[in-house]
Amino acid sequence: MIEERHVELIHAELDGELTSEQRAELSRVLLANPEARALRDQLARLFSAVAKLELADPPPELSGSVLSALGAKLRPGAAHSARRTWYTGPAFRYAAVFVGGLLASAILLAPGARHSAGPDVSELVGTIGGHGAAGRGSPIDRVTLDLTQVSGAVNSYQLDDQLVVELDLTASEPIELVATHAGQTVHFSLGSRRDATPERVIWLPAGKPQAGTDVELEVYAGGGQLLHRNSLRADESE
Amino acid sequence: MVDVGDAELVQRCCNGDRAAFEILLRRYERPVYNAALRLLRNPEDARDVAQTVFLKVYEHLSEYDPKYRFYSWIYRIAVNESLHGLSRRHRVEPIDEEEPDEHPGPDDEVGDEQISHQVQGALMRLKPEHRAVIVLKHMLGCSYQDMSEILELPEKTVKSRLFTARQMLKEVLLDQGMMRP
Repeated sequence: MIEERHVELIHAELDGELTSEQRAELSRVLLANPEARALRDQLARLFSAVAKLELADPPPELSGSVLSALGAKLRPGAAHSARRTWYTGPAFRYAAVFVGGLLASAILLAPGARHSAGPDVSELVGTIGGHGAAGRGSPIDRVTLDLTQVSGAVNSYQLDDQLVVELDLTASEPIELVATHAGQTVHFSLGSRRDATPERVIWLPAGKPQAGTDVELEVYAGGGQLLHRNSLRADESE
Repeated sequence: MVDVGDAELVQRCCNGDRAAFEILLRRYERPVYNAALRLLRNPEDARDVAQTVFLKVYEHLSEYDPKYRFYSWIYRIAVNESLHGLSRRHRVEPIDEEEPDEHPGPDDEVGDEQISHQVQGALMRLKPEHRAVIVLKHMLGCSYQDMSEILELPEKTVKSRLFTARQMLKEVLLDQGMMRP
């Protein structure tokens, strides 16, 4: 039988967190109690096994993609003050980072965002498509959503050699829209504001539009239930 | 500038010095990525989480309270983002559970790579909160006090959770024959 306090001392010893008094106490316990010694040996083997989990090298593109995604941001603090009106939420930022890493970009423009404290989208040329960019392109396809949870449309456009996917949706409750094209996937969380505000997202997938490919759309409820699945043509030639 | 402390780099970054942030990024990309990797297992998910962590850090630098250690703050964001990533992944797909090796051997008879693989598989069988304390302690080398700050839990709770996590991990490894009883 090992007292709980002695178990704690054994862990603390292996963690390098013993005081000299505690070390002396543990020494006495270990001398007197074979069970304590067995536990200590077993824990030491566990430590040894876990130590085999070596630190992996991060992907070489990690830091570059972070810096690239930060390229258009204002300095810290200023960016934060604009965040709530400029983005949909964590899922959008997750998607934006992911897309940024792939040299694609995404932006959500809430109504009035151009006039908020956030950066004007005209400052973001090169990595992020501006509001209205889709409207200047050639329409390719349109999918209309009329679900209880979300309604509106998703449009695809071609702007020069760039595919533009525009979400213009109003969600009455939190939903997640997953868009996939040419091996790229982005997740958009909508409806987090709970005030059924129209939300407009523009996604510019990396690479030129490929003939015969679609943008696959999946809409999930907050609990993960698939609500809707559809395809949007990604190329005018289809 | 690479020898400059975190607090000063944060201050410089808040004053608009982008190079200071780059140093912080290079300093912490490895532990942040590894924390996410061990919590999520999937390298692509870990990369995405690491990216999100650094963007969040950048956006919220002005909120960082210098009375806490910078690494505690960034590790807290990393753990929270990883756990959030896990919950998202649970909603859309089951976690890939590690199948025990059919012919496992004791820990001194198999290669380090196989042990590492088995330990990672065993880790994935723990609850995320237990996995998190193992990762913080054994991968990132955090002290009890660090973990208390990172997880925003009393030190006593952290220790209790860590000891429980080790017990559970030990049982899984024993079941798999990866450790001698």
